[in-house]
Amino acid sequence: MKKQKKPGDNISLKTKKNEAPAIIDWINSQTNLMDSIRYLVENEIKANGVRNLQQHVPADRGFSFDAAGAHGHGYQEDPKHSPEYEDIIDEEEIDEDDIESWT
Amino acid sequence: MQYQFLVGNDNGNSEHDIFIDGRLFQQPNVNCAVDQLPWSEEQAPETIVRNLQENLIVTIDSPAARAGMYYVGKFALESGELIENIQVGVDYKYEIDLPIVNTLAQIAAVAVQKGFAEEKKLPASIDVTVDMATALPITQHSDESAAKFEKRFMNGPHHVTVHVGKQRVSVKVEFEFVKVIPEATPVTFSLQKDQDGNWRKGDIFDQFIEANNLPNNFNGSFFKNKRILHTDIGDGSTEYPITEGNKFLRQFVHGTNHGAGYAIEEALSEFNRLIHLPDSPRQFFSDVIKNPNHKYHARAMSTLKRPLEGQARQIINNIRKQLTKARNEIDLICVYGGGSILMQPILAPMLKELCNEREIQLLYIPAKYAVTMNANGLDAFVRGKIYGAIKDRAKQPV
Repeated sequence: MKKQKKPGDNISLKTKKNEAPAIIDWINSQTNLMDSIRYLVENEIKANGVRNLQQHVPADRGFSFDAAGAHGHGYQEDPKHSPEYEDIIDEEEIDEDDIESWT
Repeated sequence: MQYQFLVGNDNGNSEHDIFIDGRLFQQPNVNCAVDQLPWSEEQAPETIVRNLQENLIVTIDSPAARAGMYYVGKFALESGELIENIQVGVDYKYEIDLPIVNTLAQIAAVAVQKGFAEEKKLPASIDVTVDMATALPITQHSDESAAKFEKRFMNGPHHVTVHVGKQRVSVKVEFEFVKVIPEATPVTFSLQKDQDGNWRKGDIFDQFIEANNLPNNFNGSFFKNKRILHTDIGDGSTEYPITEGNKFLRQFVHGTNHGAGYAIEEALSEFNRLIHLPDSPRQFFSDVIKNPNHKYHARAMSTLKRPLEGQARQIINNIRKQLTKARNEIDLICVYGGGSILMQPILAPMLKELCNEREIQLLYIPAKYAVTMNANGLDAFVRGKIYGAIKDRAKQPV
């Protein structure tokens, strides 16, 4: 079984190689990414309680690569904050390459 | 009684820095074989257990080292007995007994302290299983030598009797898995994370942040993809590996026999002449250097200046060689190790110039962190995912 998370544990966030530009822009516009994501989770819980979203949303949601532009009201602000030192709780991704180099 | 310890073990030429179960112990890396206990009277175990590291006497029965009784670390140094140490440029760390004996002794001592704290009395026996990361100098590290060193630990069990006054505790130490990596390479992990696994912060980076105009929420995540040329200056060897994020770049592996120890030996006779002593030991000279209030301090430093410059120039040359090999594609040069403290006034300005010329940042680790960077890195490594993956792989049947 999957290990259960406890308060204080890390969660990993990694963007997909083909992540929609609007999503990337949204991420880059946050001054505190983790708290913004927490806000989205809070709204979901308020509306629907705690549930496994994978059982309620389609895998392909038709969020096209230019969706934000198409609706005319995407993002107004320039992303002005580099996420490099943010409080992102980004569990380091160790890949095969990393391991290989030490063996 | 059964314990499971994680160990990050830096067996240096002068000092033994070892993290056991999350705590750092620092000892002179020396021991001596003896025939009998120095105690003639019974002593209260409480006082000895509390200061066990200062009174460390063990009897070793292990397939990896000569059986017998040993004084270890500070206690050996102060005993007046004939001391074993690692001879710079002569001994191969993976072949001699000293690293094995001293590692076993330190681990067994911590087990005894932990057992005593839990039971409020000395336990009769303790079993310890250990996961350990340790290192060899780059000049000595190869797949074969690393495997040989690992096996000497893993071919256990090792029986260690810890002498607490006249009482004995029998500690059986078994290494579940040991990984030996080149010295200095694990420091990439201790730059990134602290002991709790969070991005590292704190005054270790103060000068670096100021010199490079970095934002004040700077932390160790800065290093996660950086190409770092390490310069780990020891007593007897200096290591110049290159890491990239969590990767160790094998094609750039390089180490040389330079260090503060050579400069000290070179300066010693001139120092003795100046203070009108026919002969004074290296340890005395070292103490005078470390103590700015000593009446001979200024004289000691002046005799050291030229030999240190010589060593610093050699080190700069080797850094240049590495930069050329790497086509200057290095984000920062990171300098640490015991020898870096003594050389700082000479080496830092030379390096700053070189770094400006090649558009590279310079992180000269402050003195209070410089010595334990390797031990910290090995501790981080043994807790990390890479160690876990390597261990899992090794356990799989081929």
